[in-house]
Amino acid sequence: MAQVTFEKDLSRHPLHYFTLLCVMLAGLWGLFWFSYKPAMQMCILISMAISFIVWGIVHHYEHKDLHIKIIMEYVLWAVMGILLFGSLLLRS
Amino acid sequence: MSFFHHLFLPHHTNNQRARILHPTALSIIVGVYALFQIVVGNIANRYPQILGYASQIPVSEIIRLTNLERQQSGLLPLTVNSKLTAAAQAKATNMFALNYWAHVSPTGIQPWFFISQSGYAYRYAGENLARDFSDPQSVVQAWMNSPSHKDNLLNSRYTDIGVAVMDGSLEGRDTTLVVQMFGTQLAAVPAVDNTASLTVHAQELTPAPTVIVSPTPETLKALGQISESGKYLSQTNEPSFLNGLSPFEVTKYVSLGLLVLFTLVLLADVILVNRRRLVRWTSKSFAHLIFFAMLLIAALTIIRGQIL
Repeated sequence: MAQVTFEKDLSRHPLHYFTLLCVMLAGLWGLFWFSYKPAMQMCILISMAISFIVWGIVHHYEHKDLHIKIIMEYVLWAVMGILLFGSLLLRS
Repeated sequence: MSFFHHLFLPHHTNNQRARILHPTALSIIVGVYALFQIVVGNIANRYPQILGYASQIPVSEIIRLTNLERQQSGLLPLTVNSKLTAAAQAKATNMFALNYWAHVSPTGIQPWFFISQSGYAYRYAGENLARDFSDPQSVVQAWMNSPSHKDNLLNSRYTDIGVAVMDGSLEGRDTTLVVQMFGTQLAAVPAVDNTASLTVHAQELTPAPTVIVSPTPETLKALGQISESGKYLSQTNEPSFLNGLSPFEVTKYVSLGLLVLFTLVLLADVILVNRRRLVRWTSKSFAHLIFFAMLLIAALTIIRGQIL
């Protein structure tokens, strides 16, 4: 298990974070592009959340510190994102 | 202060990670938030008089602000016309019933049809639409910021106005719809040329007093003040909510508040952990920050109203 500072992690895996940023930016673009199509926006939101979880698993696997607790944290954040943004999409 | 640190910042009391970022706290927040959504939804459905499905956009305020803008531009104020009001209500009802966000319905019905149907014989007529705004000032300001809508608002040829504000579900989303109709009665001005020009965005018809399209039986059914489709729930002439709250507002502010809170806590976490060169075996706050920052940007954009 390799525990490093954030700075080292970023310098070791710049491509990981760049990929995540690109995927999230693509999702953001999709949310704007399908403005007033809540069903499509929900699909994009769920895709973003799944991509985020997959990114977490791959990143920590590569980092050799993957653990079920870590995966659960990504799942929790993804669920939180879906709940918060989804309620704004469908309720407000 | 130490409790604040414990909750929101990496601190020795929380194992160098803000307490609300811990999986246990996150699970509790997710659970409570999901429960909150269920409760709000149930209260709104079962007791609409308590947590009404209503906007905070009084019709009278839209009219007052419109006339204020006109007076500031040296124009005469518009008079509220009951037939134009009925036309605006019919248009809003039709939009919810047929589930569209446009000046022209999917069946081809123009806004002028509703005006003629209400018995208002017009020389000039216009229509402005808005959705998802939470207060009348923002609606009128958005129209004033748009050249085509401003042209309608500050058109010296209009003498009458009718406004409808209605809440319901449009394209799968809970919405507050504002329909503003302008007009000048046929007898109010001397006759001019008889060239009909229909434009969707300028919303002006000169003079075309006849109905242009033939509605289908389904559309005519939808024109009535019906609720059988269940698509729309209430028409709002004045606010009817308790303590100024509606499910829209409650959900919007809680969700947005939590998104902002988590984004800020994650940002503080990334900065402080980097500065203190802390080593932790956890999920990556920077990744969470990217995810939540994107959602926050999108949220701040989508909660703004839209005009047409």
